Amino acid sequence: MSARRIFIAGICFLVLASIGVFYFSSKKQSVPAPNTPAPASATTTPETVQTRVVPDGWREYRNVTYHFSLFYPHELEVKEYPEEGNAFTITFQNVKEQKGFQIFVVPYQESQVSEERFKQDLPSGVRTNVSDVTIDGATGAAFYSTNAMFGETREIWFIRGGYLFEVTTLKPLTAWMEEILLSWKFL
Amino acid sequence: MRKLDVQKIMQGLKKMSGLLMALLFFLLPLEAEAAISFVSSTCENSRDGNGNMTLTLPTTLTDDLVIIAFAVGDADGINFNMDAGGTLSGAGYTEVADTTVNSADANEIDLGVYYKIMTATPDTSVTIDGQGGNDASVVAVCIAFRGVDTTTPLDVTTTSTQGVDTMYPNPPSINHNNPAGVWTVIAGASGHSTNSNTVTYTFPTGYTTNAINRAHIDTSDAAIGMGYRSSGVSDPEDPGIMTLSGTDSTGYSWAAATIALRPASVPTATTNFANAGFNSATLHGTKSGGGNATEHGFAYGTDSTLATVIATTTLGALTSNSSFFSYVSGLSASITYYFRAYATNNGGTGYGVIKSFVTGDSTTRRKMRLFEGFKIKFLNGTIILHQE
Repeated sequence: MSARRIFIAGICFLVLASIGVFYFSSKKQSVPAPNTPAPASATTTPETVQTRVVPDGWREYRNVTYHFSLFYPHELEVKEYPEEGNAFTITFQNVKEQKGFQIFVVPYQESQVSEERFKQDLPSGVRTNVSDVTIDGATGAAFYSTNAMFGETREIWFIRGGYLFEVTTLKPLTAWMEEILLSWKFL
Repeated sequence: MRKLDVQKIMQGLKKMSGLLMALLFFLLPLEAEAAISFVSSTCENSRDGNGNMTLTLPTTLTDDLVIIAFAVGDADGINFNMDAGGTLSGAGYTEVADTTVNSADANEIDLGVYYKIMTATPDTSVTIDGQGGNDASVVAVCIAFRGVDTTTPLDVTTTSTQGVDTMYPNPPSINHNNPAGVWTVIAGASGHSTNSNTVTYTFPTGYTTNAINRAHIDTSDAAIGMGYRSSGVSDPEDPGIMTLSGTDSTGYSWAAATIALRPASVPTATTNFANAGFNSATLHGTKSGGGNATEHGFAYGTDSTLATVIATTTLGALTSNSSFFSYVSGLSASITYYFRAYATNNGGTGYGVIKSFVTGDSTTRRKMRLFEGFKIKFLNGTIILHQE
């Protein structure tokens, strides 16, 4: 077979392959009919962007996935850690000033935190000075606990929109963290 | 063995790659413009023009375009206002042509063409003005189309004209903006005295599909026809002559109009992300372009191609390019779901890409990420951090 024939055969193959790719990608586009009835549980809301005025010396942390925003001192470094099972951890810390707290968000279907869940995330089982708290309308509990690495910790746990939020800091930073949490807003 | 001519091969490759690119260009889906489709047509005639005539319309849906063409055959020498009674304008129809052969011809013809985008309660009939003249024929035809741009259904101003000495309408050429998927519609009417109410039009090449016409006889006979061209439309488009059966005469007349239909712009949808809970999720998307959506939402399910879906949320109309979300529940824990946004209008449906999310797992434990990599000590109530 001459080189010219091989070349033409190659181009033909390329053209046919292109047609094939197009054909099958077009077929893929023809799926779901939008008229399938929605389940009763499906709801919609037009998405609006709420802008907040950030105080001097502060920054805004905004999480569109879990629908919340808060202000934090600008010297804190923010890190995000996607966890297994759709959970998520955000840390706000300044190592030099020994300040920081973390937010752990996990999908949660109960309206109140179960004992099993407490035991799961608080292996020490310690919960003292338990009191009710409200974070932008979400009710929860504040308490002290202990952690093998951190010693005594301050915990504020609350449930909102199918998620459990666990906010943790070292006990000496209780007042500092709770002032920050005053700026918490659900989006 | 023949030697390879590298230069020739390179030249050939260059030519073929150009051809291939051109081929691929035409194969790529044109997402912006949708296809117009024919819905149905109806027609009616009347013995004389003494009274108004009721024209039953095709069964249509919201956003369908209805075009009505009607004609009066007479010998009065009057330039009729075709909607003098205001029955069409009062019902929300827009005039696109009102033309008259007002000459010494014994068989004059007046043509009126009107359109309307149907609302949620489409019209089932309209009243045609009979012009109150005796010994006149009134004929009307109607065609409905789907997938036309509801904001600017006519691509350009309709062209219309009229003539004498023949009963063969010659719809005028039209310069449209050549949008992808443009259709042209022609309406032609004839004033004659063939004394036959069965005369029919032969439409120009490309205009025969689903064309409709109607004739009526009285002292002055009239015929009307309307057809459309759905492919091969040139710019400018010169439709050609509509030939009426029967013997032509210099004593006859005609009037005609040409319309270019602009296809609806399909809305484009973008699938953004989902934030999944334990047994629910909030799906986020954006209508990112195209025409207004009459419906939008998400399809979701466990099939990665979404060939079958659990459900499709229907969130209603969306008249701006903006983001939206749906909260869906009843999901199972620790399952991968697939979803995509859509937005639809009478021109078609735009889909976002398929994305996935995994519902939560109750066994996920908290990890302490705070001060990760540091050892924490307390000295007289002061926190001391040491890098590990």
